[in-house]
Amino acid sequence: MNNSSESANTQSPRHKLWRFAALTGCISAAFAAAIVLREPSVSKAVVAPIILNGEQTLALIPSVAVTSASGKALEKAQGKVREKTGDASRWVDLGDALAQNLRETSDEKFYDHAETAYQYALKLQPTAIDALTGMAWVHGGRHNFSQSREWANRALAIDADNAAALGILGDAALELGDYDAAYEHYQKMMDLKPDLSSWSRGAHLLHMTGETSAAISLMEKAIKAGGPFAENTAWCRAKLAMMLFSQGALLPAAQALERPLKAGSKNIHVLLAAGRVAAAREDFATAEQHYRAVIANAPNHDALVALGDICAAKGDNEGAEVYYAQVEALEAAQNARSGHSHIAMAKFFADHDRKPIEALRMAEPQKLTRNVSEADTLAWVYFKNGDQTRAIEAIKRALSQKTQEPEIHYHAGMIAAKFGDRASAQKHLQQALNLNPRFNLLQAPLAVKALEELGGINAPATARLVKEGAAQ
Amino acid sequence: MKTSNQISQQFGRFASAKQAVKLAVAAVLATTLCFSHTPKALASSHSDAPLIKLDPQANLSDVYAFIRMRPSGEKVLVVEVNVHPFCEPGDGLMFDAFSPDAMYSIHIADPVSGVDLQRYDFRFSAVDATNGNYSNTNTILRYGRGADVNGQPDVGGIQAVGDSHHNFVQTYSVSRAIGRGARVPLTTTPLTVAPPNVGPRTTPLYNDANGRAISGATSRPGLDPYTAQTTVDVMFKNSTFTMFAGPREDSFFADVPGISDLLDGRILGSSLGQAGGGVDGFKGFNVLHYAIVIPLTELPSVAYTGALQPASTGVGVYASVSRPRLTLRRSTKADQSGGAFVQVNRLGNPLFNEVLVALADKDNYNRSKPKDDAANFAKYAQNPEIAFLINAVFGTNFQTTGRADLQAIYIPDVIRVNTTTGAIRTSGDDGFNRLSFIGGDTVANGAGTQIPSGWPNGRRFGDDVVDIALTALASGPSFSTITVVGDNVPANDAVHNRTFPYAATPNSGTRNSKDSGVNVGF
Repeated sequence: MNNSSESANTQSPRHKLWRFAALTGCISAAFAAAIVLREPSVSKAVVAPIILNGEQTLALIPSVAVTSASGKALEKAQGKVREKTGDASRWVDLGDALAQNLRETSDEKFYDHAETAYQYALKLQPTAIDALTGMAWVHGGRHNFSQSREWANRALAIDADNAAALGILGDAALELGDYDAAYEHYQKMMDLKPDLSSWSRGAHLLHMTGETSAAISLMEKAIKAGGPFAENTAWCRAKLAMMLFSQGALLPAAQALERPLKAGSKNIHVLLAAGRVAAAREDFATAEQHYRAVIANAPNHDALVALGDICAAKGDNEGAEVYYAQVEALEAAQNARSGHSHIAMAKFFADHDRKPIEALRMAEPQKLTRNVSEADTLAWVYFKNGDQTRAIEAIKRALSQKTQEPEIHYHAGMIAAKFGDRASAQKHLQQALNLNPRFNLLQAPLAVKALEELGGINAPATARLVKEGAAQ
Repeated sequence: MKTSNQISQQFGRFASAKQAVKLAVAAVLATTLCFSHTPKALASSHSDAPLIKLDPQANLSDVYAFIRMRPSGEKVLVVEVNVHPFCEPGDGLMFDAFSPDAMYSIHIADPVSGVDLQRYDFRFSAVDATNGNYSNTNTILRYGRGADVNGQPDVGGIQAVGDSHHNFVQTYSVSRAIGRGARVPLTTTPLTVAPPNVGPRTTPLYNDANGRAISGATSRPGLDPYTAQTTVDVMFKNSTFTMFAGPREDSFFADVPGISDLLDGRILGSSLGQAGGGVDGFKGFNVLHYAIVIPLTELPSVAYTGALQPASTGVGVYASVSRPRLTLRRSTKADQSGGAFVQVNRLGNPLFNEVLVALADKDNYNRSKPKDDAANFAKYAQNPEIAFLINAVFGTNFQTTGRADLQAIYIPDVIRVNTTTGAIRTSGDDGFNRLSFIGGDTVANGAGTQIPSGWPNGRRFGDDVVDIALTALASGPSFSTITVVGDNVPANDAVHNRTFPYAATPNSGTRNSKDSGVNVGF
């Protein structure tokens, strides 16, 4: 907190908006880790039945180490509730403090604890609007979007100008790929509450819809505005770094992360972003250091994949295999608990040419998605399964928002090349490499090779491929 | 393949006594016209300046200059120049050609003073039916029909440059002047200008089976046959120069439509929109292109301090187009030009005259020389109006005065190329980053110091000069924090070659990325 003038508390802590910056992070498609780790109520058993009294309910919520600002805030909130268990607003504050701890740790158990606190507040006061938006946030974080929207709409029925509820509706729309609706909700939210929470959301939407330059500028504005916790700006900085990374602006991306890294941030989004930037700059030692910090306490899909990829890039395939096995073990453990498959895992399989049918099984539940990141993975998985028609249909959806993510263009280029559409293949491969020639340690060199093979008159017999493609 | 007497006649024309008399008459006529009607129409006109906009054939659009290595290991300076922006690929039946009375020049200048050290002049043959090099003038087709064979019409695609179906062949010659010395021809016979990409029927060898241009060659044998046949090594004394002239795909990419509309919100705006990314205003268009590969052994070497590259050694590069002082329009035959050449256009670094120089001086810029830039135009680099405009529109706080960083790039306005580096990565090479140093794409100079691989150290195909310039504008002069600003157009719509000519194969007249539907794939 004291590390940054950016995080000066210009808003009352009573404002419930700050929690939503983190939500965008948790659901952000760019951070696949957040998605793969998302488990609908893994520890649902601890959610309090409403029949418990205040003391009993409070007892379900653990204390955390008070070394961090959010840890201290949680301890304080717990104390306040203990003093007066019948005060709904104190329960809402407790829920918010738990939400802040989720941002800090990315530990999903805080969703359940926050839900416990918000539910108890609603038991005391069914119209507690901040508890309603809190519930909407919890469900959004778990990707239960229909429930999330239901809670948000209950809040809006009480106050049509509730910025927090608008933000949550926008988040759900964004995740579902309904970018027009997200635009409407976020714009309204930005008009009502011009601050870090609304601007960082707007920035993310701009990036997803192809206006990355404006997105970067808006995210910088959000960071300058600051939030009450350092974590709020740390998340924004991680997001900004990834936008800059998508543009190949590696030096500015590294600059964006300097501040939280110097402050010793343990934010996994910051560490994952720092790892990607360092790896792209071929500073593998630093990259590995960041990724190891991510998995110090708990395994993380993205960090494990990245560590494996660094090994593979260095030619250490055995070392890579150790990490990849951990990726699969993590997925299996999550499956065992939630019985849920994940699109990030499908992408891992497709990227590493493993288990293509398993990848298809995981991605196909999203086959109607309008979310460009999901459509991109879907297309990539179809491609790896040799299904050109579906791959092309899905990649067109992924390209529909003109999102400036190199991997989408890389996948489009590879699909077009296989389909014999040389000009489209060249265009998209060049787009990917021009955006960021180091977009992925293992895939970028394949893009370079493919582009080279497509060039000049010695390229593969395009005519034959085209005719075959047309006949299909 | 025809060699044309008419062409050498044309080039030699002004020297003959008979022509001198004619020119004297022409001069009188032209002077009369000048004073009575439109004096400026016969004076210079200029690129993205009011006057040159009226003279497309002389309108330079981009200059590229970078160090590469021949397969033999010889280090060379590649200079490629685009002229005539917005050539419509399907602009039949004539298609664009170089202006026969213009002189297209590449200048090697002192990177500090801007004074010319060498000049390479490209001059092109006639285009009219009387003086031009045609196989058959009794047809409407400039390409696709040659002279009758055994009394039968001969219609079909061009199978080799200069064959009978390549009905109109423009040729060119290149000469060099050192310092203020006289021009010395580098070419002994006229070289052939590549044909336009009419489409898969007329110019099949430019295109793939989908009728779309083939580009992205990594070595000369990978070039399409027309380009390969018009990429010519010319021995001069003990050095090999390589030359090319012809239509090419427009290698510039930028959301100029968005930038022009008072900086459309998709650049920096903070209200949400669904415009869906930047629009490459140059997508699918062609340009005319002239280019040369110069061995470093033929170049001077001058010490300078460049932007982001202290203690450098190299050259400055810019291009110009000049036209004869007089043009005589005649009602019974082709126009005639004569008199000394007057520079009508010039171009060094990207965006200087377009974005920094004010209307009052845009035409003056095109008439003047880099050596006078410090006196004439330094104020535009130091105090960029564009920073003021962005601040006004978006409420940013970019520094609007005292921009020593921009002055270091633009004054004098020559592209400074450090000639002590190894071969530079170009678009498509592993690790090429369109943002040059901002993306960490650097190269060691002769002293081992890392300097930018791309602009403002030289300029490569694929360098995103709009994003680099906007970012520099936002971040300078201190660059302590780099604020990235861009136009959301990160790449060209066609793939450049990784061999000379680096500019991509011209778009096909019938299938190009400007057109919609099946023509563009996905």
